Amino acid sequence: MNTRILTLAATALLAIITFGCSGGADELTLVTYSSFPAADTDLNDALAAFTEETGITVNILNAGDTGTMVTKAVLASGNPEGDVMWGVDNTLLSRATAADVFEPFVAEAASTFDDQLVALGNGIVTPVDFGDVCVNFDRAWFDNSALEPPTTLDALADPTYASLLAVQHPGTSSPGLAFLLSTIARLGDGWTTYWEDLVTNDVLVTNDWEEAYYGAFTRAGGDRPLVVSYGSSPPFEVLYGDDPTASVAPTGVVEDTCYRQVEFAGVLRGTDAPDEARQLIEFLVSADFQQHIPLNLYVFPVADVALDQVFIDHAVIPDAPPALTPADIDAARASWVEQWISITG
Amino acid sequence: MDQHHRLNRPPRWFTTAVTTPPAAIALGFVIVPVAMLSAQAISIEALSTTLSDTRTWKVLGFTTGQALISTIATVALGLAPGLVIARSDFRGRQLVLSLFAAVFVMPTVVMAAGVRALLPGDPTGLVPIVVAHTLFNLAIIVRGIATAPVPLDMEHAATVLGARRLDVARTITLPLLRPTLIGLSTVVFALCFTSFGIVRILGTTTSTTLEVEIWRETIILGRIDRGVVLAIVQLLTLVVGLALWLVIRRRSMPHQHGRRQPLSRQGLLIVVGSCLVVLAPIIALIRGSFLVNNTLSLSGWRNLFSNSIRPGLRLGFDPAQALLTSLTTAALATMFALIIATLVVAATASSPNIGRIVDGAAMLPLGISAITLGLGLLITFDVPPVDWRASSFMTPLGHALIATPFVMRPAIGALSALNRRQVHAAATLGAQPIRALANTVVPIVAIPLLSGAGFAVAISLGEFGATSMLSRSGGETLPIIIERLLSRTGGDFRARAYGLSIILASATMGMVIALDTAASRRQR
Amino acid sequence: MSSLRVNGLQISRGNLPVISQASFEVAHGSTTVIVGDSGSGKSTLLAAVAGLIPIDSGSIRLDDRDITTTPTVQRNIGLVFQDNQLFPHLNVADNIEYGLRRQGASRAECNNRVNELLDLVGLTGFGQRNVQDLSGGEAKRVALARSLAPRPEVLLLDEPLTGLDESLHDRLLHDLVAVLASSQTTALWVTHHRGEASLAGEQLLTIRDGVVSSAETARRAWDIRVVSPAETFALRREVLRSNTATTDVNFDGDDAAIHLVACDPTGGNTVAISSWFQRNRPQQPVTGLQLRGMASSPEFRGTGAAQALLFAGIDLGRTLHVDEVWARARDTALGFYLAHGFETVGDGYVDDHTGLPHHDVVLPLR
Repeated sequence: MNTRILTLAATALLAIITFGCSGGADELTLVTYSSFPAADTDLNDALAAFTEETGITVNILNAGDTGTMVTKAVLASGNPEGDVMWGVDNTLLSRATAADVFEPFVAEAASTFDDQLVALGNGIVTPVDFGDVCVNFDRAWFDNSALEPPTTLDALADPTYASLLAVQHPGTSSPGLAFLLSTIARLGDGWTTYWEDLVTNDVLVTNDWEEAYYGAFTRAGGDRPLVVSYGSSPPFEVLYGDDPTASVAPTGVVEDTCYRQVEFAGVLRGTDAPDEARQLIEFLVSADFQQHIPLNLYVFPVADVALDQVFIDHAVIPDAPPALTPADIDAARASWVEQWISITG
Repeated sequence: MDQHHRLNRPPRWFTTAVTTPPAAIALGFVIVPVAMLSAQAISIEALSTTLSDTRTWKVLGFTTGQALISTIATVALGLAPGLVIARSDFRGRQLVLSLFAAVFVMPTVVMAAGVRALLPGDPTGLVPIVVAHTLFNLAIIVRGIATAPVPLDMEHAATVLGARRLDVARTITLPLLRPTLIGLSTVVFALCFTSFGIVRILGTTTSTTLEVEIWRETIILGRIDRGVVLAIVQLLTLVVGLALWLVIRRRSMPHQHGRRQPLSRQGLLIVVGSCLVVLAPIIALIRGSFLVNNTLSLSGWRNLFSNSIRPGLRLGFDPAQALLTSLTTAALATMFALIIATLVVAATASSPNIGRIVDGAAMLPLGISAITLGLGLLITFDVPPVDWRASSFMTPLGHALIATPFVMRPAIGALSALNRRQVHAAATLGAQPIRALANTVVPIVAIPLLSGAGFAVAISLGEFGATSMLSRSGGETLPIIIERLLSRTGGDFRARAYGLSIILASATMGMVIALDTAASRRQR
Repeated sequence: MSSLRVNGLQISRGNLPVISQASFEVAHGSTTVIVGDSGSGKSTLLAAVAGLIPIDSGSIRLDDRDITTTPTVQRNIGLVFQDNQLFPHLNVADNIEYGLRRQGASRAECNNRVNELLDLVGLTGFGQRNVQDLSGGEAKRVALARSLAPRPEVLLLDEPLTGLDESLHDRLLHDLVAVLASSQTTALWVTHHRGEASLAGEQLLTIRDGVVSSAETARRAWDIRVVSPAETFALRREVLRSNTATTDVNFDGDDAAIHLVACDPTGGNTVAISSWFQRNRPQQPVTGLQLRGMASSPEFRGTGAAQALLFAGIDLGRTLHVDEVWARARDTALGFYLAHGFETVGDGYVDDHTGLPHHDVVLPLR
């Protein structure tokens, strides 16, 4: 009798200590980039369902754009702003891991994902989505001209397609950098000659994506029917256009130019709720969450979930576009960009 | 300002009380964060590489050059309208002044697009940068001059002595205006020097400023150490300039505020001309809000405050909520800024020497890169009980730090015209030093502070750079939302973004007019 | 110097009429003083004559030149502001030469004129001084010098002595009148101070409720009578006792003097007295009529009573066929005499009776 009461009391005490002291036991902070919705979308509803099920509330902390988010994490390494980070990509991963930002953890479900994607995470982080940066073309413009849309990277350097391409500055724009990496990944050392040819071909360099897509692109009233954008742009043009059921998207993608950007999620080193953090990451790569990614984050899920019809109809998702390792990127990025600058003048 | 006689100075505790908060804020929220960031991030290797790289000095040269040229252009363009508006009464005067303020809040992306559309050949580099800076900062010069005291009687005296209108301006008005003008120019220079958004969009690899380079090194290339070195170069340059100005600045000459007269025909031309210049980007905004995929459409306006893309698909943020957040943030930021500005004014009034130091301290945020500041705050306030990294008052506080220089400049300018005899008169009538000071100082600075507050509102409503550096859970401001809309593919998002920018500009104009009206009512 | 003729001036500010009727003339080389309370429109009148504010109707002429529609810069009128409005960013010399520079005068011309004027106003050597370090009286003199430098045809003075302390007031009044007289300036002076008005100008006008009434009416309003010595004593006692150490109000030869008094025609009471002695100036071969004392009741100062008595005395002198009218004038009253054509003779001296500085003044009648 006495022992029982004692055990009960001890358990109760332990429970109080456990739940009382672990300050973040039922609350997690998810550090992510600014385009991640803070409320209202299906993604947020999915997170709410997670909370229902596990009792863990998820606060979304918007830490700026991806580069800013990673820089902050690097500076705050060991004393992070949150518990889990969503959205560090393969161009920035090396920077983060070198500063020991993460506690290594790969979700169990990752074993069902594409090996290449998982390998990029190096056992420290889990891939959660990917997006391709590709050259988009204005279908209407090409229909009205004598030209066919180009199908290869090399074609862009051909005089036939002179003065038709708009790219972004790799030093200031993320898709701009991705396109440069695409040329380096596909052409190796010959990339410098390629860019010289592009310059001869009167390539237009803009400072950021908006200027190119909403300024130079012929669809926006500019004079360039070829523009570096995302692989997900064509389906969204349909989805947000006048006729969401159109059979042909107003824009298309040159598959041969695509470069894959992978985003990862990881446990932040120094979190006071590592178990819960891991739970969250398992959820983030689960079908329940992943199925809402395309329509809300403009990228594609790593999990094997069914895509909306609009993507099935209009998205072009190359199988295995050539890629560079995060370590390579981190090491040579600055000098590549400098070289690029001296070529494009 | 002349020194008070030792016996009649306000008690030491008063001076300490008004000096400590602004000094503490400058220390805790500006100097310490930058110092901590430097300590953590700098390495000897970065120092030597960055400082020995000729590119660093070329960039410093361009930064200084474009800031100088922009300042001169802004003053040249804003002088005439400012002078005319200062001495003329006409219907719509408040509206015109608030129009200039509205341009101040335009998102830099939009302004950049407008400038490129305006200039033939779609150029990048020095010229569009200067044009954009001038359009943005015209407000500071025009409003600053328009609200400065007008020496009407002295101008009459000169006229009676045979001076024609231009002569009067050249020999009387401008010399008397010089201290105010120099103060305003300093602010414009600092803004152009640390300009980010405009240069990022309209600059080139060779025509770039330190601020953009800091961003490139820190965020894009991940070389935080080099970024911090550049930030220090930037800060030191501005500190040197600021120190120079603080030392050589002359006190304003005391003179009375004259009664305004009706607008002359010449004046009308000048005012209308400058309004058209400043309206050009706003017209581009309006036009853009009616264009979806290059065709005329109302869908942008119809969906302005909608948080959905189409039924079932949400944006993930609420523009209406963002507008509300922006307004409350602006109100809070203006309040903070007014408090700090008032304390600096009180410090300057009670002890001119200490006042200069506090003045300089309060001006610091103008010279510090938003990125450096944001990152510095991150690593300074990161342990309890001061783990304020993601707290909701950081944004209005950040805005307040940036806005305070604008709020206090006109007031301190007015203060230096204080007639020492008035203070003495109060003292001999039995007022304690603090009261004597208050009774003579408050009437002089109340109006400039109120009109400076209008600026704080404009700055806060349009602030993007520092705000985007601070982490937050929800509670986005409208400029952030506008930027998010602009980076979305498809639909009427761009039109919505432009429409929201017009809402932002209108909100600014409304609040500025309200503050200006309050100020002018006090004047009567 | 020109004469200033204002005719039928009507001025309103906003919708309120300020001046409803102003017609007067300031003769060439003379000073006219307009006396009025604050708010009576004096400053508005001056501003209108200077061309700084528009008028509703009327005309302003300088000699024969109609300047009603001429812009201020071309009117060649000087204006001394009540608060001086010295340019704080220029030193004394630069302030003074401002008008000349606008006329295009050379450096040398400016320098000469500046020095000339500094001497005139008694501020020799002040050229390099900072305007903000000047005392009230010095600032006023600089303002005067500045206005005179470009040789205006008419000089307007807006309450030039208001706000100065009493000793400065009297001294400056004397100096101002002296400067105006020696430079033969046509001057229009407005003030609310009746005492100053009567001593400063040949012509006294009043302004009330927007109407300027002419001096002649004011002056002709006094009854001049001859009275007995006994009546004189009473008034003298009342007035003189307050200013001097002596209680003796009996002058020598009072029995032989002619005492004139000015009476208020409405009330009949005496407001001013004067005593005239037929006596030659010592060591002078000409015959003379001496004014031995003049005093007026304080509340009637500046109302033209003193002038009326002076003119009456001069008339008396003509009647008696003397060669000149003279007086031993207290220095503070010199302005009054000088303004009416008297001249000082000899050096000044200190009177034994009263202890105050004096000068002899003379007005030749032949």
